[in-house]
Amino acid sequence: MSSRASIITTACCCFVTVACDRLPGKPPIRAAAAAVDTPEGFATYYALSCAGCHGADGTKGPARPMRDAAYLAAVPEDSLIAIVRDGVQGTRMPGFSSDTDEATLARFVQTMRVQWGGDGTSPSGAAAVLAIDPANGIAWQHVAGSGDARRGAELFETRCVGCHPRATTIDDRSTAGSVTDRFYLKLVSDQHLRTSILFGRSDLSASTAAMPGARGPFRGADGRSDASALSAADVDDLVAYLSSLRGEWPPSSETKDGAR
Amino acid sequence: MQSRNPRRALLESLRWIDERTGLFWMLRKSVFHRVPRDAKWWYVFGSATMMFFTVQLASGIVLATLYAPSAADAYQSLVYIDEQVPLGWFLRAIHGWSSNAMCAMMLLHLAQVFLHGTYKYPRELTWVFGVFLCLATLGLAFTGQIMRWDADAYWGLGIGAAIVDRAPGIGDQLRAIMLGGPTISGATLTRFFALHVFILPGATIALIGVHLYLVLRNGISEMPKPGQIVDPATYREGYESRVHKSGVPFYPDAARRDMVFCGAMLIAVVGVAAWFGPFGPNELPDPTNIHASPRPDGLFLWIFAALALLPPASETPLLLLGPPVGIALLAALPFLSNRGERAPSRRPLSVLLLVLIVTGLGVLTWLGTTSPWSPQMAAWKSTAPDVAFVEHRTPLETQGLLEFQFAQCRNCHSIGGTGGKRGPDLSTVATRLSWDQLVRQIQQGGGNMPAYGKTLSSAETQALVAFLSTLDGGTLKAKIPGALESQAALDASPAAGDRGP
Repeated sequence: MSSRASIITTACCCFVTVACDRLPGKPPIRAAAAAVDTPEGFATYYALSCAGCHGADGTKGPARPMRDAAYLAAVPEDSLIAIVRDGVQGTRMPGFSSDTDEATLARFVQTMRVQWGGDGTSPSGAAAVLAIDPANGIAWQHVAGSGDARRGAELFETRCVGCHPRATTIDDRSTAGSVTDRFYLKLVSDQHLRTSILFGRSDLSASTAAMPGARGPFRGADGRSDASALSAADVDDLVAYLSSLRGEWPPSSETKDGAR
Repeated sequence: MQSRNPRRALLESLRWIDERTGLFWMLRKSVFHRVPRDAKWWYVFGSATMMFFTVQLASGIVLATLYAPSAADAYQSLVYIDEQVPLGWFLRAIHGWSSNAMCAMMLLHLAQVFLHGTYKYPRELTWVFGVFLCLATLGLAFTGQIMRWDADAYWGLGIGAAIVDRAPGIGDQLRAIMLGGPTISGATLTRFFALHVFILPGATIALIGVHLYLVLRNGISEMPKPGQIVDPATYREGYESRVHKSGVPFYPDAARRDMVFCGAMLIAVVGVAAWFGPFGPNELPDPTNIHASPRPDGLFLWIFAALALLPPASETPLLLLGPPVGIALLAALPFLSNRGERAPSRRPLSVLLLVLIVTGLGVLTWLGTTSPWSPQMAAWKSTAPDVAFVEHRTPLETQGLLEFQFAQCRNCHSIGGTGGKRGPDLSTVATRLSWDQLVRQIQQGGGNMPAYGKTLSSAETQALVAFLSTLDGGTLKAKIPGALESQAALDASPAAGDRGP
């Protein structure tokens, strides 16, 4: 082979090699998944594992909103990690330890508290953090057997029934619907009731179903507003009252609420 | 003088070999054997199939030097080939696309032989070995998909194991033989690697040898002519007389067309490989990864579609009996009809059968490509419901939506345009089904939907139906008066199972 032919052949080979490596079929380099303690990694993990129940951006899902500074401030980090890791027995909150190692779950929870806890973007806001602060004497965790159901019934009449009428078959969307429905009460735990009363659902602000939380204000049966906040004993009593309405039918507890 | 010595030595060596082996005699006989003059473009598919097989062998040998056939390393070795080995991705792409092309050429060859009645006397065994070659080629394609050892491969194996597991009495044994144990493990990959790299290629080479020998032995068939009857008593004598009189040597006449077609197909495959790249690997083979939507490679999509469409009651008998009966019928074809007309115009039933099979496979493949049969397995936890489905709901209805997510209804049913497409969209289900009909559908199932009567409690069903009854297209007027009472009656019914009342 002449030297010219050799040069041309070599040049062609080099061209083909370089050009082939830039063809459209070449797969892109696989990027490592972002760690959950980065904003991107946290958002990805949340979107894949949590958004279905807790809402696309941590609010307005069927389950408890997690973008809630008051809730995140009130629940200790270890408890929150345990909930995410093990789920809540008997509820619709599954554990994620089979999918993800514990260290990653812990970093995920820590990142969530940084991202959504008390940064001013929470629907509840900083004021709610203070209202539910353990220093005010309202613990986030329910204690079985606490509260006075009779007094809770009276409280319900003055603070709750304006939004939560007792009838279960209404066709009135101007209210938030019944919480004394036996089927509803069969599906939710006392902890769910307590969490709902304490932290409300202020993420549903566009809805008449928005709940204020323990700091109020409330609407009585006569439609008048009551701005006084609930005390720790009030919360215990309301939970005891609602719990007492479960009755005997349908039988057995069916707490599948996904909240704690 | 010196320059002629090496050539003379070479010739002497070749003559020495030829005298003892008859190699050149065989080659001459193969290359220059006479073929019918009218054997034109219809006859190129078999050669193209073999050409792609040689491409598979060459690219496969190189890939085998780079691939790590262990469960721990296989996936990463493919990533390494794609990203680190110079043009490794291109080699994988050519291997993958050439595999598809080989299967396509083989099926075209099979269809042409069937259409022209070439399987009739004296080519019955040529057909039978062709059917075996077809099975070996499909086996190579399936085991090749397993080599990717990604989520598709994992779930594909799972489905295969579930199928053999249905065999009465010997299901466990068959599954153990297939997987190398009770579950998918490293032994499974080793087993399929041996099949893909040693056993099936070896069998294919042997079968090609026999197939080609029979082609040479019996000659390439003529184009079928109406009225030219195949009669075993006279066919061979007539064929040899016609080929001797009007035939042409395989090389260069027929071989030229083969080379042109094979060259064009090769260029096409290289182009497609360069443009579309290699197949997979997709996600990691993780049994806890439910994001995988198991979908086979294109060649097996029709099986995927057929399995999805089969009524549940007929699945087991059809899965277990269908393949062996189908293969046996295909192989037995020349023994059912090995004489008579070969011309398609005189065999309308065969033409109709071919059209039906091709149309059926084409439609099933199209359905397998486009139909969203696989549920979106992660929709329940990753697809957030639209805010419109959360707001203005009662606590019970909100619990129903939570149930809708948790019971994984969302994986098969969409609301608001998101969610699975396996079942009907439920965004306006309350305008189609009454409260009682919703309860019945959930508890008893129907169509392809499983019954949830023993899975969901009465309160869960009540909450779910309360939520579904609000899906009336936005007016929220579907709440059913008297719901509590109707549920009490349903709970007392036998359909409520042992959870009553």
